[in-house]
Amino acid sequence: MRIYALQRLVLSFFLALGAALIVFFSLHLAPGDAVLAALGDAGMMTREQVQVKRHELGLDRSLLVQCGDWLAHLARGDLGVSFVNGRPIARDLAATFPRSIELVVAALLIGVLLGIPAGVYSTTHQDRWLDYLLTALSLAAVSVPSFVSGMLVLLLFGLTLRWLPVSGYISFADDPGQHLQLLILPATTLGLIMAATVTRMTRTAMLEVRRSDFVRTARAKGLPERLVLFYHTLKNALLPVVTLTGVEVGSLLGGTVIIEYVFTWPGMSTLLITAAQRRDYPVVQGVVLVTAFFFVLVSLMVDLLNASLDPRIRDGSQ
Amino acid sequence: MAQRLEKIPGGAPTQAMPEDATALARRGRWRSRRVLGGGGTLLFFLLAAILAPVLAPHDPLLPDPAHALAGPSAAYLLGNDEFGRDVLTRLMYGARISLLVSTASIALGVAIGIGAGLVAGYYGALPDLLVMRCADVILAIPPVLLAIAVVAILGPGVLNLILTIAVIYAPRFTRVAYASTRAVRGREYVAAALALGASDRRILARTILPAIIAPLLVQAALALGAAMLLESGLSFIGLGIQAPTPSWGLMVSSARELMAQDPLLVIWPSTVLAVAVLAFNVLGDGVRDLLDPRH
Amino acid sequence: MRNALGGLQRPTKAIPRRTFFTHAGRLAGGLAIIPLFASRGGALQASAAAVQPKRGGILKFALNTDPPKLDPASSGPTGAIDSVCSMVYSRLVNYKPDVSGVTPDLAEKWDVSPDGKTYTFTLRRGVLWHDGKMLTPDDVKFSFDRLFDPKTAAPFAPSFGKGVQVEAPNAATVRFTLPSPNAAFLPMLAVPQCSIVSKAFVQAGNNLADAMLGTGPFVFRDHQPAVQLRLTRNPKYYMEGKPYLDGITFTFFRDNEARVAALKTKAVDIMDFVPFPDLAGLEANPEMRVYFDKETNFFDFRMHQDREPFGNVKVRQALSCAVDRQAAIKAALVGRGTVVTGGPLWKASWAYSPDVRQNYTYDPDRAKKLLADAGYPNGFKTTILSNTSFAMHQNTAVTVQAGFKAVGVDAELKLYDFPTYNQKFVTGDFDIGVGTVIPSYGDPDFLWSYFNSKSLWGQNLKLHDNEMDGWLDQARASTSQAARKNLYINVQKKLMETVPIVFLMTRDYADAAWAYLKDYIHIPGYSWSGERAQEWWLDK
Repeated sequence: MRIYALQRLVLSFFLALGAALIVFFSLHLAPGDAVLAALGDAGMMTREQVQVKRHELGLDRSLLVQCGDWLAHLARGDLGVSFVNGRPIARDLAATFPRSIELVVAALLIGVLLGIPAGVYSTTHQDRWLDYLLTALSLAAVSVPSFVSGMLVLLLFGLTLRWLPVSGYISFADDPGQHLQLLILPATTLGLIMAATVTRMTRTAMLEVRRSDFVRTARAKGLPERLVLFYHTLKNALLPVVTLTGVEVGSLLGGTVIIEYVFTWPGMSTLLITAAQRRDYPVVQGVVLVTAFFFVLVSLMVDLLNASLDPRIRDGSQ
Repeated sequence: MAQRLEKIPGGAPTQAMPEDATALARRGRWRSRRVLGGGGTLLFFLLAAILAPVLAPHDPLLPDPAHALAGPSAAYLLGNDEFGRDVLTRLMYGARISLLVSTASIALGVAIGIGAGLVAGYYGALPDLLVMRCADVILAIPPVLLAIAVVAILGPGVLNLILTIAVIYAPRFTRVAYASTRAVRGREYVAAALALGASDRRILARTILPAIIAPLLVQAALALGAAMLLESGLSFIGLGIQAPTPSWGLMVSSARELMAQDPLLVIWPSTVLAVAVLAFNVLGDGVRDLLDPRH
Repeated sequence: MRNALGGLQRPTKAIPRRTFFTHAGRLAGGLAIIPLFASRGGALQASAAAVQPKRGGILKFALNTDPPKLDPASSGPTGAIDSVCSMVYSRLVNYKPDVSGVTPDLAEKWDVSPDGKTYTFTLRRGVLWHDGKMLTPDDVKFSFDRLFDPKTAAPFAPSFGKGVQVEAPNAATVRFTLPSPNAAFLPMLAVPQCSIVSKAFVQAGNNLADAMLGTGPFVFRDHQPAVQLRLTRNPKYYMEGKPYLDGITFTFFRDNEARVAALKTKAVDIMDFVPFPDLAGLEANPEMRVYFDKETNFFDFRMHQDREPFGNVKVRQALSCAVDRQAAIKAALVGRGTVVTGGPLWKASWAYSPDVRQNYTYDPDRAKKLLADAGYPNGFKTTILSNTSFAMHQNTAVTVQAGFKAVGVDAELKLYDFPTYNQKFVTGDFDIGVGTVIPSYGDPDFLWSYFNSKSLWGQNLKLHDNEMDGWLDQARASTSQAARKNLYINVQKKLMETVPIVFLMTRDYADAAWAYLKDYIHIPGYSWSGERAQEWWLDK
């Protein structure tokens, strides 16, 4: 098990490094002029001003030199500064990234708390109308684009019914009540989509496990159906669900980008989208990098969790 | 969110153990209904898209300020947008763009995936390492974020979008192709063919390729809906299809700003989008059920 | 100059006849000269006993965008940056509310040498930076040296031309030596880009894009990107007793609808850049004040004269006749705009003349004839550059395209996001470009930066008009306002004939605030209203 953990750790590190390098090179090999794009909001620059700025940003050095420099900074936790306003990226990310994670965690909780019971119900009522209904709802939930459902939710609960506030972010420290109220709508929108996926995963996994040998054995032994269901089936079905959920965190992180945009939740999506619109490469780089690192970390943890839960891996037979 | 078809660990190999013959029959009917339903809807969209230049009542791009934000009428069945353009026409032309981007990008992704996965799975060693690690790295970055980053590099637009989405989904196909290639490669008849002097290419084309088509098709069908969601999401935040080219996501975005004045405007593209993605997902599920030996 | 009628048209309640005619009389008599206040309260206050401003309260401002950076020098004119900088920093001089001239700010008085090349400013004594240190002429010298330094890449610097020398000869004065006289020098100094920054602060390593230390009425407190930016009252501001407000909090919203909603629910007190569809609703509310600027935000399309066939003046004239301005206003501005009938000067400017009239107004038949005369009876193909970041630009471009199509010119729309659009314009990679012209400083000399062939715009458009260059240079150097006015009239009349840029319409720019915000005046032009932020007060 320990060897496995170590292997995964090393692999994850290289994975993260690989992501960093791919991001760096793709951004620096981009067509178009980074300097002109990032500074051009006045459109009044002289050619010599652009040259000077390019030199100041270090963009006239060779690519390898820039890369080495960037990696060296990265090792120290310095993600560089924005082209547009010179703000340290690490600082802005430290402020915005936790807000996105908060959304992700909230959505995950909602997704799991709703999805797993729904999946179980779907299994017990397989092929009956409840199953069809839940399946249909799940399908609808993952099909409707998140920005559409987000807009509808915002319109309904925020603007028409006025049950919840729609703007004016307050941090948890400043006003927990208001903060949580602001969190509900975006988290629920994302969470429902997550729930739909979890429901289907749970259902599939449970059906799979239910047909397996050891469940048949348990039934044959005459154990009560309830016990069979919850203890044997669910416990084993949870394993793949956990794994797949860990993988879905990546989708959630992507989903937060759109949701944050719709609900004006000041997470990293604002940072990213504004930077992409302005061609502020270092910021785009930084956000993608940190997200990739985070995702690799989550995958690692899920793998380790999986390994510790799955007797086959734990006992060494991978 | 794409559904992933990984081998579900922890499940013992199964035998189909239906509790009830009727249930099995019902399931079978449901499956074919899904393919029919999903496929049928998509066919409808496809026809609308292809025949748009012929069937569409008006010009999708020409503004007509006299009719700006008008409601549904005889000439303009679904009303007009802020430029006075016919919503129905733009929806039909939007179908062209949205379908084009989704299918082209996935097709391209599959092509890349087959190429990369075959090479990695067949030759092993260095190609394996390079290709699969690259795939892992791309998979480590959430699709939407990666798409935004690539758009920051390449700029928005139809071609760039197709390329972007293809690159994002290619690793999934690579993995499937890789796994199947590895599985087939070890078989006896391959060894026999090699012993008889068959070239690599022949083996790849004759034996391996046919084996991986089915799982790839399943993955592709499942990915189509995700591709459409990705394209519409990007267009919505302004980093995808650029105005005035009609795209459903873009139409939702402009309609959103005008919700106070014309709430109907946002409903049409939203509905059409949801139905299209739904159809893709249903079709994908259906294809998976048909082709996947496990179900 | 604000459109005074715009100010009075606001309320739904019928204005009592007596009041209406009294004010109408005043206004008719003094349009070009008397400073006008758009807020109804302003004109009434002049007649009633002066109301005593109340202290206290935090003004909540829904700014149109989160300022990407806070450095006044390295920012191009961007509304949000200017707004914030104008409240935190001071300048040597400020604009009068009607932009007819300047008033002292950090410079108490000034002398101009007879040859017009040397300006000597006497600085106000005892002005303190927000950290308590004393302002010195060295800070002024430093600020301008920094502005002119190529490393700062200040977009506003080229407007001054090269060779401006700044000296701090003693503890009380600053001296500017210009290579040639510039009649617009003082108005140039009043823009927020010419804010005075602290030498010590910058040399201590602070990044001005990120941190602010000024001498203005408000102190920079903090900036949470995409959330808010806060300013607090400067208790040591050099104007005794001011500012009245305790602070200003800028809150950022993703889209305009959210801002309008916030204003309506009093979550904020004031917003700038009111979206066109919401203007009527806000105007109809008797407790809301809408501050208009209907005359300085010009929408135009511009032609690259080195590209076929735009070097041919008949072609340009033809294209000017091809575009339906009213349709553009309806499509781009939801009807909230005015067709430009003359040149690019606002009516209240001293250089304005009603004799300057557009000759090539909307007339498709005439357009076709002109095209035929120019040798293009069947039209031609071309491209139109615009951006997708602002719907009003895009919609204007679409209308222009439609107009062209109707006379046989087949134009393909090239739409890009704003950075790319700017890039393409700056590098001259366009045939026709659609955009806006807003005077970057409050003097008709801004025309030099657009139409002199030596200016950046002139270079981008490839203008080659020696006669116009001559007039613009002369007007810049002249010291007689009458002479300058004549020259600018010549320039404008020629512009109406040679149409390098076709001015289509102006938009109804507006700020909107609840009536309890007193003494707010929108200074026409860019976002200079914050230069008077110390006068604002809340009546609640």
